[in-house]
Amino acid sequence: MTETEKQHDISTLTSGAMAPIWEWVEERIPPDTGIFDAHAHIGEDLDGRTMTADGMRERMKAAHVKKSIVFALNDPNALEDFSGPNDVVWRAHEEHPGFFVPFFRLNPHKEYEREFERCVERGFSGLKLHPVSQKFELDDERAVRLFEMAAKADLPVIIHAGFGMNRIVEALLPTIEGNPELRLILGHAAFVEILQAARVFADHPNVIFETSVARAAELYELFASFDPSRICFGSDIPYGDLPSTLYATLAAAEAAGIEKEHLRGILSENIRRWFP
Amino acid sequence: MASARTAHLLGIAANLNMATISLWGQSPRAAAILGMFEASIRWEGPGGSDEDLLERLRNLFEEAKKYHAREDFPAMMARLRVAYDLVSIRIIEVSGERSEASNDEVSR
Repeated sequence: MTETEKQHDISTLTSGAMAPIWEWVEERIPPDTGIFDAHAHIGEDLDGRTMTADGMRERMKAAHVKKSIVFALNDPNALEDFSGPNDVVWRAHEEHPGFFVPFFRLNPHKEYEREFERCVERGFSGLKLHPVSQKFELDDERAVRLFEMAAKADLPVIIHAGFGMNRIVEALLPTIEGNPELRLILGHAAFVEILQAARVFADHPNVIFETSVARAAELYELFASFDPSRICFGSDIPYGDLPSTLYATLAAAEAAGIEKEHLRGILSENIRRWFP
Repeated sequence: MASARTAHLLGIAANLNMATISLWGQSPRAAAILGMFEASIRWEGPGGSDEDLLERLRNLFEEAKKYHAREDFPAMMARLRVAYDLVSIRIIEVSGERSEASNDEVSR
């Protein structure tokens, strides 16, 4: 099997020992839930991972996902301003109208004003920042300025708040308090500090938690302690996948006693408040 | 019994977590740590209460190994992630604080 065939063979994620898992997941998705994946990538990464727009669409169809927020990986072709990878995401959006919500990615260490303006004018729906890949702290003044620019442009920001992170809550709080209008998606549910994030951000309604590749135990902590109307599902494709991330989210939600009406919100409606 | 089961399951979870992280990081010791996880699920746990879970983990792991050999990272990692979550949910259940709403055969 070629690498391309392997990447597109999504049956491996729902067959064999995964079949009863996937059956369990499908049984628990409330009827008529148009699943919204709030975290996925298109393009290529320095580590060799890739995902195409067509590959994303195949995965979405197979897993009943109707819409996905997509943005660039840590692309080897990012150069100074991520304009090339951002163009790849925009093309995906144009070639598959209605299925992708395009976010642009920037590097706070580099000149970013022109690319920010270009992407806002073009119609991108949000901004992605990755403190680990781009090696910055969330309270770095260049990052804070980007948060402020996004708030002013009424542009939601998704931040990587997962693998490799150390400071999330303490570093973000001054920005969130200073910019209450800023709409912020905590990617990977800030899992390293999930309980403290849930406590501290409870009174900041424009902060929502996105579940991708957080483990079921961490999501259980979140579901047991936080307003479920501010939690949304994500997959982190190509690092995560839809069957296993849906399982983690649904198993944790069920263990925490989340009601079916809230499940529909977590899988779809909560994030649609920002991206109808 | 609950504490013995929890201890047993925590050991399994620890080995699986190490294996998953080492695969993520492409550690040269990943295969050895996968072997540790395999050993930890080979035999019956305290009182045999978790045999259904262990059987499920063995099945997922066998397939994960197969996909690892084929260098199919997504198929392998999906199985290891689900395995970890199955163990975690069982530990939560054994702790006695899990919601009664969930009583199905997959997550138990």
